[in-house]
Amino acid sequence: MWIYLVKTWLIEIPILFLFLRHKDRFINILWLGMLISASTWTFLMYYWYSFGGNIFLLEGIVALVESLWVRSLWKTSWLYSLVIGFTCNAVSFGLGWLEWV
Amino acid sequence: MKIKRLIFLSLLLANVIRCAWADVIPYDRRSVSYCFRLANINQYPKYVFIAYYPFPTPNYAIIKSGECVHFYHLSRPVICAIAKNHFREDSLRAYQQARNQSIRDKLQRYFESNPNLIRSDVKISAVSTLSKSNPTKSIEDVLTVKKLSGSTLQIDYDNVVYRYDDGTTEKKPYTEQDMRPSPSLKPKASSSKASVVGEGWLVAGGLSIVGLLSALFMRNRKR
Repeated sequence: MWIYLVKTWLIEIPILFLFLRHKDRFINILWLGMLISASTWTFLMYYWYSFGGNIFLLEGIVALVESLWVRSLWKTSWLYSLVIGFTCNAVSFGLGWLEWV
Repeated sequence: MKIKRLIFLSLLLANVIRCAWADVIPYDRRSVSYCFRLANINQYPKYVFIAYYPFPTPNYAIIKSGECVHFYHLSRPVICAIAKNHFREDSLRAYQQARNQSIRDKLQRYFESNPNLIRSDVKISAVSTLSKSNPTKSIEDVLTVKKLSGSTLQIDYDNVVYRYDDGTTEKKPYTEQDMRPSPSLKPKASSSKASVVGEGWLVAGGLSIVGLLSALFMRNRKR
C-alpha cells in the first residue's frame, strides 16, 4: 500500500512545484510537499479502510487541510492555497480512480 | 460558533451518507458476474418461463432450460410463466423491438395486466460489485419451481454456485430464502483491512504533522 503514497508524491509534488516555484526553492517544496501528503494520506487511508464513508467528501477534507498547510507555510492567499490543494488532490485522485497510475 | 457547529455536523452527516454509485465501480471494489438459473423448468413442458424487467426500460427474456440469465444489475426481474397455447412470441418481440413508444408501452401492459400470465413473488437482485480482496469471480443463483398451478407460481432459491479466481467452484444450499449463503473462501488476508492499514500509518502521519509544525515554527521565527 505504501507504493500509493509514493505515487501520490510523484503526482502532487510536481503540481506544488508548478504553483510555488517563484516562492521557494525546489528542495523545500520537495520535502514539505512530502510531509504534507504523508500527513493527510495516511490518515485518509486509515479512516477509509477502517470506517469507510464518502470518499469524495474525505478527499475534499484532505484538499482543505493541504490548502491550510500551503497557506501557513508559504503565506499564499486563501484562494491560491485552495486552488493548489484542490488541484493536487483532484489530479491524484482522478488518475488513481481511472487506474492510470 | 453556531455556524461552525452546523458545518461540522453537516460534514459528519455527509460522510455517513453514501454516494449513489449507479454504474460507477466504487473505489476498492471490483465487478462480479451474476446470473440466475431455473433448474427444473423442463418438468413443465406446457409452460414458457419469462423474466420480465420493468426497469430501466421494460424488457423481457425467455428463460431456457439450463441457461443462466444475466441482466442489468439495477433491474429487478419478475419471473413469470404462461401456458404455451396462450403465448405469442411474435407479438411480444414486435413490442420489444418497436421504436414507437406507444407500442413499447404495450410490452409493459402485457406483463402487468395479462390474465394468462402467472407471476412469481420471488425477489431477484443482482450482485454487481465486491471488495477488491474478495476472490469470488461469479455468483450463480439456482432456483427451482416448487408449484405451478392455476394462478400460482412458487419459485424458491435452491443453491448458489460461487466461482473463484483460482478456478475452483463451490455450491452452497440456501437455508433461508432471503439470505444468500456466504462463500467459504474469505477475502485474502494480505489485503484485508486489518493488515492493509495498521496503526503504523497513524504514527507516520503523526510524525509528518510534527515535521510540518516544526517547519512552520522555524519559518515564523526567521521572519
